[in-house]
Amino acid sequence: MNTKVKWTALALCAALLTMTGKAWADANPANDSGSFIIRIQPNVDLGVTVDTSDAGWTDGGNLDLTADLNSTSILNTGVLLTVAGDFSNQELTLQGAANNSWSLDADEAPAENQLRLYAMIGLNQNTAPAAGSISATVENLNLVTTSAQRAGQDITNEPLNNDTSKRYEFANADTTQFQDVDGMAVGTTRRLWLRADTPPTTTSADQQTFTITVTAVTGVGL
Amino acid sequence: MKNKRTRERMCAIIAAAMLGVGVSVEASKVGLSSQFVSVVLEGLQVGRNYNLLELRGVPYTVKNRGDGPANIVIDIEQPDPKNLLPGYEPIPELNWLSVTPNEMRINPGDSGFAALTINIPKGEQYIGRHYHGVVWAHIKTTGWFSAGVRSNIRFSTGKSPETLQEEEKYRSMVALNYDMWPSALYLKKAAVGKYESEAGEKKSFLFTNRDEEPIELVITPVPWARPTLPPGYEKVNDLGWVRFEPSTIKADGLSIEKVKLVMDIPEQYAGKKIAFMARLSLPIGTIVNMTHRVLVEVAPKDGAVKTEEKK
Repeated sequence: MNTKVKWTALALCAALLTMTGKAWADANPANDSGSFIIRIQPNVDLGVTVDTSDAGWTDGGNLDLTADLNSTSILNTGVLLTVAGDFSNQELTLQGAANNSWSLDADEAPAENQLRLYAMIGLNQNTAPAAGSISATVENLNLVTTSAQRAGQDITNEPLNNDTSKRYEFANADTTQFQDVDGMAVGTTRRLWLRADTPPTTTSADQQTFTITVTAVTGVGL
Repeated sequence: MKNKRTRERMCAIIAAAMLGVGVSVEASKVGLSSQFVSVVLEGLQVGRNYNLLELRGVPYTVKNRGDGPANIVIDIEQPDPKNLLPGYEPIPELNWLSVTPNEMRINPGDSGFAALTINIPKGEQYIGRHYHGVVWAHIKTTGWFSAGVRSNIRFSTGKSPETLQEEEKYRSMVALNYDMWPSALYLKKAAVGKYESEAGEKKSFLFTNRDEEPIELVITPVPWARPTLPPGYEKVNDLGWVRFEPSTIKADGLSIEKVKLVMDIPEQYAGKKIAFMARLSLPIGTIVNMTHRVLVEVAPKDGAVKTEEKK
């Protein structure tokens, strides 16, 4: 009986020593749920503001628009975009949403109940671009669709700024409108221009609303 | 009559008064920003949840930079494949990331705070992988314009690609014992159209592997990256018409390889002096050198003899 008690005591001591040792020195701290490495870009603020205070359609004077079917309307004064925060490698994505019965066209083919909505971003100035310059050499490139599309060069093509694959960006040769939209510094201002091509026919007599979300994203390599 | 019908249908058109309606929260300026921009985590374990606010005191923050109150929605997204960094893959399911709360109303100039949690399911197949997810905060509105901000979160169940690449770079750099001569390759007889440095002027880079082990490096033309250009030269950004041959240098131990320049010079550079650089990188993409320069004088149109003509 005494022998059993001694062995039990020894086993308890051994177990306690083992537990104590583990508590003081974890051989592999990486396997603890609270032990992991986190790296955060310090003191960075990324963002954008969208100012519509002066913006308006050519034939409407403001952002309310009544237009004929099968017609083209262009913003007479663009929407002012400003890179906000304190981070100087910012880019923008555009993403559309149709809030009623119409949808956003994605193939540039006129179709019933589909609005073809083009966007271009360029120099901060007040002269509206011609309708023809709000289209691309590559089909569908400047359409605002329901998926987010990055303005400027495809990120794999940067730092080039003059290839034909760039999106929502004027041709470099268009010196009255072009300004690079890749890797923008904080405080950078640009004008966003819209062109709306209404469908040839519609089955709805209701008003239609659409929302374009301008989203700030980091530039190359982030 | 037809005109009347058209007019009736016209009222279907865009936005109109609805713009004002949907924007009881909308002012003439909307804006968002976030200080949670790019976060990288490594050493995570499968089958566990990581609340960054609780574990590390790191909140997801978003600030209303507009001039009216804004209703903010925070969504989780898979990244666009075009925007994935090397080594990463999209999170398999959106529920691998969650934000609480994911909706909030913020007054102008104020910030909102939320907790981001990474939820990794159990499964050996998820070990040693690198995942990328996107957090998208945006203003909920039916008005014409909304603003948003996208943040990247990347995490690894093990070491991150950046750490693994650094380790690989260190291992490779130890074995890199080479030089490439000259440091600046001057070509003075180039002309618009196809032009080879070796055929035209008997000039190439000479790559010498001084190590006994073979070396494999990728050589790529890249835009000029020094603070100043040599006098009279101009920088060229689009170098799609330039390549090195071979584009991947495979040098046996203690050997020399010739690397020639092959160009198809566009007409726009006729009569100009152009400058760019050569970048050497490991096949995994790690840049090991970007100091070699290429300086090319292009003859005025019809003012020089092309390579083919010389032959």
